[in-house]
Amino acid sequence: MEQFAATFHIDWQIILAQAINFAVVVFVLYRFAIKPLKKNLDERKGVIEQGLTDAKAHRELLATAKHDYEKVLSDARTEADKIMKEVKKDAEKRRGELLEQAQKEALALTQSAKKDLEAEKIKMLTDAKRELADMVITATGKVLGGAVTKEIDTKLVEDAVKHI
Amino acid sequence: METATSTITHESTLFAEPIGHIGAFHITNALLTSWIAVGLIVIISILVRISVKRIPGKLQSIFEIILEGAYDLCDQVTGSRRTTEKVFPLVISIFFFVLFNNWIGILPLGGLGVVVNEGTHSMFAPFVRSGTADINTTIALAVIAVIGSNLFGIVSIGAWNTFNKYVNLKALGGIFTKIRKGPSVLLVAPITFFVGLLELVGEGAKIASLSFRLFGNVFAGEVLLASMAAIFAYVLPVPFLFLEIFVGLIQALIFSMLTLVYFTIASQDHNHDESSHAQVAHG
Repeated sequence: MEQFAATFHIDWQIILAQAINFAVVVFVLYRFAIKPLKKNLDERKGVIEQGLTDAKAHRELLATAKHDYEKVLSDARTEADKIMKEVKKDAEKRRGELLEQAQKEALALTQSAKKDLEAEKIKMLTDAKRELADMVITATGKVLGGAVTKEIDTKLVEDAVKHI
Repeated sequence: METATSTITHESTLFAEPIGHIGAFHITNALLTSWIAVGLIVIISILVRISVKRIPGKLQSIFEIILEGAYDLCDQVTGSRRTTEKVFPLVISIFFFVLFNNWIGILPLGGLGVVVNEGTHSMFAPFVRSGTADINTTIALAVIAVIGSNLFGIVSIGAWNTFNKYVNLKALGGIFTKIRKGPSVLLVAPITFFVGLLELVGEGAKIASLSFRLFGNVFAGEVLLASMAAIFAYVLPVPFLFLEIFVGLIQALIFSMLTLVYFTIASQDHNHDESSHAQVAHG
């Protein structure tokens, strides 16, 4: 052992010095290089993972939003169609009603017009009769030459006219 | 310098040559090189510390790639990121400390040095000699690695379990509890106990193998370069310089990986594994 130590110049002081050197290396390398680098790496990894998760969440959100949007749109379309149909139906109904009313009114108008015409006709006939009676009276008076009184005359004429 | 006087000689010695002293403390060229290595590591570490940003620059990118690669490599050995994170600072420190020491020694600065009087004749001692080409350095590292791994074992699986790896009282105690299952334990338990004692010897062997492997490789490299330079200066050593750069890297990697393996083994409870395997087999 002595010879071995002498051959290689084994010196516990130098062994200790080298151990201290190594301890310094461990401390400095860990404290100043590995720890901050590792921390930074882990943090960046965290940020990237967070970013990826966020991106995924956003993509899903976008898909949901798109789906919702399409659903709302199709709902609106259906609703609009429904309203349109109802409106059409209402309009149809209203048109029918209006037509009916118009027909009724037209009928009523025609009827009243007919009635008026009838009345007019009767009135005209009456007037014509009266005028004819006057004419006959006048003619008869002229023919008879005043032999008959005015009252008899009128009565005769009226009777005659009535019998016509 | 070497040819200045005929009495000054230089040879590649097995030991690191002393180049000065503070009181009784001899500073060897290997120790000086180690200090330079430590200084470089400190400077680079502080540069990294200053340059660390969320969005990495060039320097940071390089170190991040190294760090990630090293973590992945360690994960393959330990099998779990948790163990890796506990052992990693020590392992990567060993790697860089050994690497810098190896590489600084390769630098062709052999001409710079001092003449040291040793008794009758004068010796030329270069300032730079690989820190790891001195057995003191490698012994220091190996002792730290082996003692560290056992301390890590105590922290991981408890002092009693670690103690039983070497002095396997559990196995001896098992004779009384397992004898009912069969007489084979009478044979197995003493063998297990003896294997434990071998493990204790093995820990010493680990220190020896770690330190001499590294020392031998790096010192051989220095001798090789010196020999090649002696044969045909300036040209012949060049390919061997590349070889030594490679060897320096490989040896740093081997030392740190072996340390990692020792730590991993120390953190695993063998007895527990065996008993659980036995339970599976029985079940």
